[in-house]
Amino acid sequence: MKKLLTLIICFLLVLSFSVFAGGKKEVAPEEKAKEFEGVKVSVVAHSGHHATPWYDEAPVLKEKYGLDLNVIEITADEIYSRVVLELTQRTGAYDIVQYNSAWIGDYEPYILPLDDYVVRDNDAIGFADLLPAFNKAQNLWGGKKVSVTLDGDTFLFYYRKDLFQDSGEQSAFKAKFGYALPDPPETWQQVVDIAEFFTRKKGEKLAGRTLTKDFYGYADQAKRGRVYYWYLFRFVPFNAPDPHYFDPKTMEPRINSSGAVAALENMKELLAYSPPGVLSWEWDELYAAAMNDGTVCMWIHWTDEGRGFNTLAPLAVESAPAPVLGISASPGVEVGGKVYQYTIVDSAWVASICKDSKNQDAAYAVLKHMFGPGPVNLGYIMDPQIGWDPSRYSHFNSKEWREKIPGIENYLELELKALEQGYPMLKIPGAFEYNDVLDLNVSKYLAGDFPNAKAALDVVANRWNELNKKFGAEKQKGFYAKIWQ
Amino acid sequence: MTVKKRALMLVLPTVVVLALIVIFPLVFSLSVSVRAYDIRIPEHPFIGFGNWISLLKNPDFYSAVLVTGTMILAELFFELLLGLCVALLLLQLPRSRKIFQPILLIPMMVMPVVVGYMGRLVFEVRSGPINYFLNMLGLESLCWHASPDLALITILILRIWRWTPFVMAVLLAGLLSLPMEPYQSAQVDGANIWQIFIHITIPMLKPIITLVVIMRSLEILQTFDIMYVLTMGGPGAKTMTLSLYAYITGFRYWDIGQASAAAWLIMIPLSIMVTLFVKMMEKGEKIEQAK
Repeated sequence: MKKLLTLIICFLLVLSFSVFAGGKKEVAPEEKAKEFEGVKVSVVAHSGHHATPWYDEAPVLKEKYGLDLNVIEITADEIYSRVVLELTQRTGAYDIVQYNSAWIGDYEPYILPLDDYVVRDNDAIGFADLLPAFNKAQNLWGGKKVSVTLDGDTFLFYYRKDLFQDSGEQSAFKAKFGYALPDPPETWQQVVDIAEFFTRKKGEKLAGRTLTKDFYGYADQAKRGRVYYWYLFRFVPFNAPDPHYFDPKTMEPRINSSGAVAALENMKELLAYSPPGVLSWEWDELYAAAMNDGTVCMWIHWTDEGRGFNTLAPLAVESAPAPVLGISASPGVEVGGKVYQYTIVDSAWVASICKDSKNQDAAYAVLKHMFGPGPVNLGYIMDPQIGWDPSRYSHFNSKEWREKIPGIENYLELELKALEQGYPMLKIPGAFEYNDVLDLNVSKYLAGDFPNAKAALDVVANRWNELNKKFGAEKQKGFYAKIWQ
Repeated sequence: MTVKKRALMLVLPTVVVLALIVIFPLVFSLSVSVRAYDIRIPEHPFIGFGNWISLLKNPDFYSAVLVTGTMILAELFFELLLGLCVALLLLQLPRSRKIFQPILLIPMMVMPVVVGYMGRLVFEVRSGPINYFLNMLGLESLCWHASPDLALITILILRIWRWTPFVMAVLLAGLLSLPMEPYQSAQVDGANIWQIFIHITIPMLKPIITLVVIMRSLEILQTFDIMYVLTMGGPGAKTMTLSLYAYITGFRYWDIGQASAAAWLIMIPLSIMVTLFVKMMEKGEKIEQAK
């Protein structure tokens, strides 16, 4: 019996040594396989400059994790349709998708919440570092972390501060309108007055110099397709102090309220002080006219102008003064003696992991590498060629950025201030369609297809009711509530 | 195996292929058009003619019909007129034809999307070359595709520029294939150029013109690329064609049911139109032959 016991003990000892030795051999660092060796992660990215960081980091990710990054570029106007098709058909073709945060209503069933990862690695991706305007409005959906902001895109109001600072113009404005030229303009009524005041023909005087080109007071990006943003910049404040797309209790559209009508009328009124052809203006046309041609006084656009403040062209006058770009939050509306200003924050790009991805852990590692706080992400944010805008405290407070580009602090601080009044876009299933219906009818009104603004917005309200019926009014009410949670 | 069976076996592969690639999609799209079919919603209930009625009640659909109809009439008129003029000119220049014909065909080879982007640059209101030349002539700049009144005309200019060479090439091929005898007889009878053109050339070209009209009508009904790039159907819905309307409904809103209904509503009158037109031309030919 003793012999047998000794034999068993010896056998177990030998076995444990061999297991121990074998295990030790496996974890030897020089021979350990990389965490995601051979795994392919497919990412859908907005084509062009947005895709550059993904390509640049692909070799780094290969080196770090052993994974292969497959970048699928899709143009901005096609991302929604193509991704919806793949997600709804559950093809599993994409591991990571880049999309506009306003589309979460349609994407939600196919998106993996990131909460478990965040708990597991103690928020290494840095949700706590994201500004509440982005974290709350974009990343959280029904209380769950569904995405990470990659581009803190938002809209800012820009104006020619060099013109606003001219004492001759200040006196003339006060004499005409009876109040001092506001710097910056705070209400849409002021914008109308200022636009009218500064719209002048070639050969007339501007800031005491002769204009070499026609000069216009204001411009929207009014081409059919994205003109609804420029309407919403007005719709939200014109419905202050409690702006809503729908009545939260009944889901009855408020898009044809008296405030909504006034907002659309304001838009048309400003067309009179806008450059010819503005109804066909997309991003390039507005940026070029305002920043490179020096012929537009005020406009609302994404943050590209703010980051490129030092590239503003001089005014289109002889012996132009040094150009100065003014930046502010979008104008508001005065209600009961208080000015309500809002900044639409839901126009930005976020990234999520698809539920049908077979490589979710690898995809999360990619997201962490690309967007976690640190030099990799900051490097791309600081690069004006990339088009990723700041979204984190670590971006806005970056000492490195402020030292590298003197004057950038003005833009960073003004954007932070503007984001304090962040307002979300409509984010319910079919949001793309709701917005496109609005876009079409706003465009038709501006083109003169409706006798008045109310008629145009009544058509939108009817179509929104039809869409509520199609998606289920009660379901939509639940989704609408999630926007504000 | 009997002859009948052998014949059936030989025809069967063609029938199967046709059924798969033509009949099945047609039947499927018809079945989709009577259902509330949105890929984002799991249920696709039968709604009868709901999609069709909804379409027929939609003013945007009629606006698209009007835009498309205007395009068909305007394009056919100008392309046939210009194409025939250029073809007749090239017919008179047998030596130069070899040089000019390939050059004139270049617009046809340019991709529609490129034409759209090119149009965006050329007709740019503030810095485009067209307005520059207008200003040089002392004329005011025009808003072209940004103007509710001129947007469709801008699209038509681009499309006529692109498609006239095609019409010219087909008509020239037709002119070159015409027999010489009727012309010689007419000359002997003392007919002038205009009489020869009206009473000999045009009647003999009728089958070719029919072909061009049918092919161009079908292409115009399907077109959406230049509008997609240049105007996205705007300003408002001034350049929204039927196919752009169907595309936006089907692939932007994912309302496949309504998009299918729209496709059928386009196809039914088109089939009737093409059939009637072909019958009419055949009748004309028979009358000519009888003469």
